[in-house]
Amino acid sequence: MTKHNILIVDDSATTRMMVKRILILCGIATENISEAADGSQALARLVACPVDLVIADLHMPNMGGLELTTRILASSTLRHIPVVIVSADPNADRIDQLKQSGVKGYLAKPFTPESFKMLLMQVLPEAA
Amino acid sequence: MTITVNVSDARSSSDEADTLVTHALGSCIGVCLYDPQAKVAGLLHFQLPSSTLDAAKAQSNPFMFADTGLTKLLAMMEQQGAQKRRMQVRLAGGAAMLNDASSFNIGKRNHAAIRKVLWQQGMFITSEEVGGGAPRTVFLRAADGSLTIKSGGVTKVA
Amino acid sequence: MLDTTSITAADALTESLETMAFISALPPEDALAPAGLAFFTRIEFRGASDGALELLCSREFGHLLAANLLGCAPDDPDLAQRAGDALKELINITCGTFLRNTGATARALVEMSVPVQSAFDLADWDAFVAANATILDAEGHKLALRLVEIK
Repeated sequence: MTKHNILIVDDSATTRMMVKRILILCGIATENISEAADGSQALARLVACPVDLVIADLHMPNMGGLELTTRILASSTLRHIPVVIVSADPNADRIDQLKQSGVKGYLAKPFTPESFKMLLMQVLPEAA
Repeated sequence: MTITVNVSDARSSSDEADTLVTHALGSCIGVCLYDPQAKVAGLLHFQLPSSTLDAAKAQSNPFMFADTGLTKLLAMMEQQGAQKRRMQVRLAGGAAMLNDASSFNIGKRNHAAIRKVLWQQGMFITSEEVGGGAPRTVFLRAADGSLTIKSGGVTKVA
Repeated sequence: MLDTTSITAADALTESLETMAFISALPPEDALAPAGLAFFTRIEFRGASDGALELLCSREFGHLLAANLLGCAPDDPDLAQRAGDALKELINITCGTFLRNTGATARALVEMSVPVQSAFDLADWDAFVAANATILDAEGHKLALRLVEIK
């Protein structure tokens, strides 16, 4: 678990800190966790330094999670990176489309630390 | 040996022959902790959400409150070789008892309070059986951390 | 219909606070206004119907919210900076929960805006509340939540 690199993408600094804390409690090394406040920043980071997992919100300024996910899945160098969405978006159809397009998991906000940990274990099962 | 944990009380044990038991968890919450590596079990039965409600009482009986109770129980278990990062955490109680109009709020507030304190401590909840309207009795075995919950004539292994 | 949806919005706020911030929100015991400085936070949604959720609360509540979300002590020096962002995330989550619970997305896609926030003088609390706000007591802090239609 400690060797996984994870990118958290959310415009809320509070949520990024919460998610980071859960990841650290699950055994991810602090230095292996990076953050981005929107999809554009996330793409720039991914190009420079690919990761083992992207955790992304949907609603963000500049570039949202929908476009970020589309670009990751369309990229030959990035499409192998699993993406999970953590969002308050209420549209079930949109969530279904995301799952069908290749997103590996979805967690609705509000979430508990336990439900987030369960999502992580599902997506990185070798770390369980 | 059966070790009874009373209301506003907590006990721990590293003796495999021991079972920790607490009765009448209504709006109170039983916090059942177990370190499977050190084989140390701990059980807290707290009544109220926060020691800020009564600082003097928290001094004389820290186990009455979620925050001071958990902190002290963890210290007891760590003295016996347990580590909180290894612990299984199971909750029972927090019911809405009909004979006290205000206790509905207390049960929910107790649940919120212990979840907050566990998050502050960096501990995840393994399982929980909270809410409802009936009191519960829990049995926690130090040998293997197995937990039995009895309520309304029904027995569950958690 | 407005009264029912206002209650549903309050339920969504309660659910969000309990789930993520470990805060119980209950009907207040009195109608007294809080004092001091406040945050006014607003999020809009557009779909089959257009509206906004508006949340009014004290800065102290913002600090409590941030402390609980982050699992840190209430006297952490960084909390003052975090409080506003924590409230924006709270209203974002509350709005999504409200829209999900009301089935608003069954008819059409609903888009939520990025939350906006400003300072608010609590001397104007009564006027805000009088316009159809629901008040909750969140561990001793009064919150006022309002659902408004956008025409």
